[in-house]
Amino acid sequence: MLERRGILAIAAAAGIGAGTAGFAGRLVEMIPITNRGRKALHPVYGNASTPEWLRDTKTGALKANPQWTLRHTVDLQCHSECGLQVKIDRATGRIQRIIGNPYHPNTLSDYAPVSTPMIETARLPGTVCARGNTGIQSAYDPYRVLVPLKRKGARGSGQWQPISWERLITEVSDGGKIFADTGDPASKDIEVLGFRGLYAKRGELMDPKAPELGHRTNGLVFQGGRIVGSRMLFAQRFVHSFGSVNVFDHVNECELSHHVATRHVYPGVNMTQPDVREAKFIMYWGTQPGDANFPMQTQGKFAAEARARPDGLRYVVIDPLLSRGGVIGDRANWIPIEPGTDGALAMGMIRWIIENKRYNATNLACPTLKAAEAAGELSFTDASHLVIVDPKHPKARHLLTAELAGLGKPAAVGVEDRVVIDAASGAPAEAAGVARAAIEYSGEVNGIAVKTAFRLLREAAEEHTIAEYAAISGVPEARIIELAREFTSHGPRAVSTMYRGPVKHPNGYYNGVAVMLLNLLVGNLNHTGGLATGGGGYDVKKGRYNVMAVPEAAGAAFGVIINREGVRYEDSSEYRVKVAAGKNPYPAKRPWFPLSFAVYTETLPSAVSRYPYGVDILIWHKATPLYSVPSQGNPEFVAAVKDPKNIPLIIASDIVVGDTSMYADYILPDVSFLESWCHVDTYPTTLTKGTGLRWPVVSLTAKTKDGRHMAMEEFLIDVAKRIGMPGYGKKGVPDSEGKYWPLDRREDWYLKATANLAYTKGVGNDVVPAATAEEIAIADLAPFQKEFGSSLKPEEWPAVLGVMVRGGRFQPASAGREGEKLTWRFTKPLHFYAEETGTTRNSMTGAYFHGTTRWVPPATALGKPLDQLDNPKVWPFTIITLKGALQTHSRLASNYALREIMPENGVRMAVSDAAKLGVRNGDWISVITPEGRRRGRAVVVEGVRPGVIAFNVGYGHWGYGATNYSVGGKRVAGDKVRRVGIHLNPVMRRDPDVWQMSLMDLTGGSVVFFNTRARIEKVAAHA
Amino acid sequence: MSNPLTTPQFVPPLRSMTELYNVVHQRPFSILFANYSWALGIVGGLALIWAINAWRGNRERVEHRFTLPLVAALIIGGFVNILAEVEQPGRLIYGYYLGWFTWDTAIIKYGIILLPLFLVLAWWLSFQSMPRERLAAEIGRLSSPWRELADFFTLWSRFYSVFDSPFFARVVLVVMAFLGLFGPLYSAVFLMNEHGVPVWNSPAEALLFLASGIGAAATMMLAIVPLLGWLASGTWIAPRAHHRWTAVIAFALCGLVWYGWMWWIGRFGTEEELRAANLFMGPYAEQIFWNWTFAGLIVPIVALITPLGRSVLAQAAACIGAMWGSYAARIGIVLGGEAINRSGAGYYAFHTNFAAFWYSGVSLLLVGGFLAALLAATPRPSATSGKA
Repeated sequence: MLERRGILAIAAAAGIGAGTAGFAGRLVEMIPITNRGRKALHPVYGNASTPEWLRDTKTGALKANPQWTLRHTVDLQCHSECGLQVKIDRATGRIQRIIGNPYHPNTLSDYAPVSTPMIETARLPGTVCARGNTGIQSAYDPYRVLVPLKRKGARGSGQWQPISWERLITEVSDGGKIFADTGDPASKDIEVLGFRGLYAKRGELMDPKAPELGHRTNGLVFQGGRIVGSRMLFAQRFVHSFGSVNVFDHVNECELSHHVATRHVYPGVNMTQPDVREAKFIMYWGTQPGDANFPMQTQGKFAAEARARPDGLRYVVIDPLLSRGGVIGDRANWIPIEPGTDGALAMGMIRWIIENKRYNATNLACPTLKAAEAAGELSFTDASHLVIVDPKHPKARHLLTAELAGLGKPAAVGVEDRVVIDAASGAPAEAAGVARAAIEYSGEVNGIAVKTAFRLLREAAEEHTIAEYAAISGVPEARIIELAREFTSHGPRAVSTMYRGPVKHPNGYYNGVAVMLLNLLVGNLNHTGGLATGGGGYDVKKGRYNVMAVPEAAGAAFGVIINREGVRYEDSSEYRVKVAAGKNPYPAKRPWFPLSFAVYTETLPSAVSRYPYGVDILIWHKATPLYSVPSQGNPEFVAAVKDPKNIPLIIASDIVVGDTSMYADYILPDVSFLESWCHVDTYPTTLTKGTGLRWPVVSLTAKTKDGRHMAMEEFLIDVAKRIGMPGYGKKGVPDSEGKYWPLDRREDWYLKATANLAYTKGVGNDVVPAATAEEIAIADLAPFQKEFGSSLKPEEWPAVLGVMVRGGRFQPASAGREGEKLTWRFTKPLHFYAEETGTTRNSMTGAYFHGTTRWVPPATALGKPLDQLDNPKVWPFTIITLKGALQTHSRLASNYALREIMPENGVRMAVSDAAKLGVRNGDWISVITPEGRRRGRAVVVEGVRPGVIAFNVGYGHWGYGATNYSVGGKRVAGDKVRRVGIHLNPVMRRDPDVWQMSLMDLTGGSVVFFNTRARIEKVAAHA
Repeated sequence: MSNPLTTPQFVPPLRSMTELYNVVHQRPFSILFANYSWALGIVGGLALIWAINAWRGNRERVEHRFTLPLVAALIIGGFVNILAEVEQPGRLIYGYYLGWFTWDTAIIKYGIILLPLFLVLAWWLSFQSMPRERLAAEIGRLSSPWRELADFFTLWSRFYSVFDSPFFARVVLVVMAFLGLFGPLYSAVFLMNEHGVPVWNSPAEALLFLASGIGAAATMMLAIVPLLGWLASGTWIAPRAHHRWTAVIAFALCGLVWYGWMWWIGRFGTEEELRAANLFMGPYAEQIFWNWTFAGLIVPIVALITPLGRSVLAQAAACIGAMWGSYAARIGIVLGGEAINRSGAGYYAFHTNFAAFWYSGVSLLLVGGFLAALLAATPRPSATSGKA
């Protein structure tokens, strides 16, 4: 009994003692027994952190709070590139808060001129969206890779070993049997070429029988996921100096056909945007204010301002999905169109506008800029220009020139040499001398059958009746007419604009052109309230320094890009050999994309199938094609990527072990956007000229032995120096006087580009003043200047620090408009007919692309209509994706503050569809496609077109911290929060005609996200 | 920043993020509130059953002697959890000596008065339930300073017995029964007062917390209280069998209240209440079913109503299931309320934090420690009357 009591006594002493000790923290907090408990820091704001700025209550003067460092940089939580003001705790060096940079056009409607002292911006806090706010969590992601990793075991085994920076550089540079230590039987005996070995082959042709493919050094491929602006320039400088043409980012995954279609209509321009705040009517195709667009929050803010005015903006959203609140009140409407039929709706509108002569006839009749200016117009088109339509003519599909028209020696060149029918005389004439030209002409000139570009469009529109267009698009005929009437009722203050919705289809290019051509009919370009091409950015490549110049490597990079972009198949040796052998040269083994660029989605399948050539070294820079490219996450393809025989060396430059970088051989620790450099231009939406500066406001990656924070640029510099590439090391970057400056660290390059930005010629009131001592103190730049002092000439530092303090250089907000005109005006001819497109063939079918647009049903690479591929009766749903405001990009998986609000995505489906299937909101359902199935929760809503299902991308990760892996034998546990949700990309439709190719738009080059058909099965409860 | 490649993975506590993103509302409670509510629920059930038994004259049973130490220890555990949960515990303590203006307007102040009274009463009655002669012999054997200390901690119980006076005994038992009802209801009303959280703003949870507390307490009377008796005396004494039926009725009531509540808000609820129902019938359905309905209700009922229900093993299984289920129900309700975004933006994923686990552990240590102390103070069966 004594023993029993003794045990109880010991247990009592231990429990009460340990418990009291464990509770000591709270007990101490109970000591100040007052009605406020533990005293708060501030009587009103409690324990919230202190503000950035303080005011002297006696004098009213502002001063910076010495507790914080304030730095202005540029966001990259999405591609809007908004300016940020980052608040950093001086004591800990840790970021406390992120808001908008008041100097940046995206974050304030009336942003502060760059001449404004920083202290005066205290009253002007800029705004950023939720993503911008939570960028802190991207940088401080507990899954960050901060030291180099090398795989242990086979690719994708999930086992990593930390290695030194020196070992990383040595192994990938020198090559050899560098995987002997991995224990992977498939790769331990592989002799890897490495950068040095491949660079040594820089004089050798890839294939002597196909010299157009370029040198063997094209075996280096830099596949960039998220890389823009001058960071891309840095990568290009390395890759081009190495002798490879293969450096590109992810454009075709995102929206390429949008750019190519825009270029069709506005030559050389990738993007146009409405002057939202002054427009009266906007048609948003496949996007809406506040949704993914350029820039997201700015478009939303401008639209909110504009629609709030009494006579302000009205707009229509044309999209199968009604997403988050863009359509509000009686000023906005939603048209739930059938996916991929935007071209049909636009052509129906075009037909009605032409038939009812609701177009801007004055504008369209002007064949030249001179004629347009004389008529008081702000732009001109090729509507009246004649196109050779005789298919047998050697110059068929080309625009008619004076010489071909028999008008004698041309009096003008270029656009003005084109031939039109003079409206005054009715005779053909060189455009240069014509004030008004006929736009409907069809006939012969000098015996050549010709039609005007406008006539071609009209005939294309007349291929279907409006009723037929209505049936195709699912938009009632009356609604099409109503839209067309409304659009043509506001003069040039009506705009048709688009983002991904219309173009991520096999017919995306033609849809996009049709949407864009509506603008030409009302002649809205360059008008206040009309369409803008924007002021663009400042040149950072030249000026004080020529940061791109590597004279010894000039011309080293040439040949066909592995994705076969920007080159015609007909110019290839493959084509010539087939023709010479009397064979039908079509189809090519894989498509060629002569009108496109950055056809990122073709990189991996091309590399694996070695077409047109194989890859020796692949660098994935923040790229995750296996997660983000439709269908590329399928098991067969992942196995092919994992096989080192297909691609011997894969290096991922990433901030985490991502969904794709988990299959790399090495992961080099890259910097997050808050630690990186970049110069990024503003978008046309903000109308003015501007270039934001992203610079490292914090540094988190491990350091190299010589004190540099590890990053992609430091990797390229060290590899270049190790293998002896020109342009790096002591003889790095030439200045304007020809003197060379060292390039040993990334700041040596980016600071010089920033000097170019600071010193480049201005456009009025945009010169950034030198940073004051106070501003240098606020941004804590003195230590920075000391550390990198030798990277610039001493006299350049004040101006460069001025740009760093402001986070870039921007034209004042007031400079966007000049009365009824926009300040930055585009003066080239706008195209109803794109000669380049019209004279280019489809590499799979041999057919010519259409020089103007028309309704083109979506089809496979060899032309099989998709409805015949997957019977809609068997597969009644079409999958579309949603780029929501809270999640899309992989890096947002780490943003728990966003995941709190939307922890799971689910499958959005229409109420009527759900009712037919007996599915209720929240039920588990299986989405089955011809490629596989995935399980998710049904989100039953009214805001989606029946027959369509949508999922928000960014969920259902398998990497990026979602699953377990090990580093140095230690297990890193995955987080379920990142794993939840449904991701349908891996089961999206592959093109049956080409091995492992997603469905593609062969004209514009976009990969297809919106044409996979599916069926839905309800999953039994708790299955 | 530490190297995450070598440090354990850690999900940042969400509360610290509220300063970054103002749409995210403050979530006042973590699992610590569920711990607190569970402790008060069990305490209430135990006290109620004990008082009724005592009223009926069953004062020689094992339940009478060994229930109240458990009650006292659990009240301390509940206090620890709630003091750890509130960010400024000093403000609670402040209420005892100055915070009585407008005292009747805030529900929290009823608890501030009554719960300490409950603790003192349970502590005192723990000693009053012991045989007075044995207690007197045990304390009388001690040297003077220890004897005085023991008298203080036992509230001089060796000198008198409240049960000697039928009137005072009844008054005390009525107060004890009232407090037994108050404890579980109070923790529910505490939640109901948190505005704008539909899951919490229902009186159903008060009924639920009370019934689950009684049910779990009844099974503890069958399995835990005899265990405490054995720990203190080395003898296993079987409790009264009718606790089985008390438990079964309470569990049946729990099922009725829970599913009735879900049906009600599904049928008549506002949009926000429907979202709450969707949560429990959707994302939380699996957890709720297995942890609450199955482990907490079905297993105990089946274990107790079958003929096997008389066996210690079945009663222990029922007890474990009931304790786990009653805890799971509270976790579900607390976290479910916090999961629903008040601005209608969706459901939050819940992340707990290290502090919540830490203080849960601390409270377990303290409950165990105080329980062991009270059991250690139990007089030995062999003790005989000494100095009185």
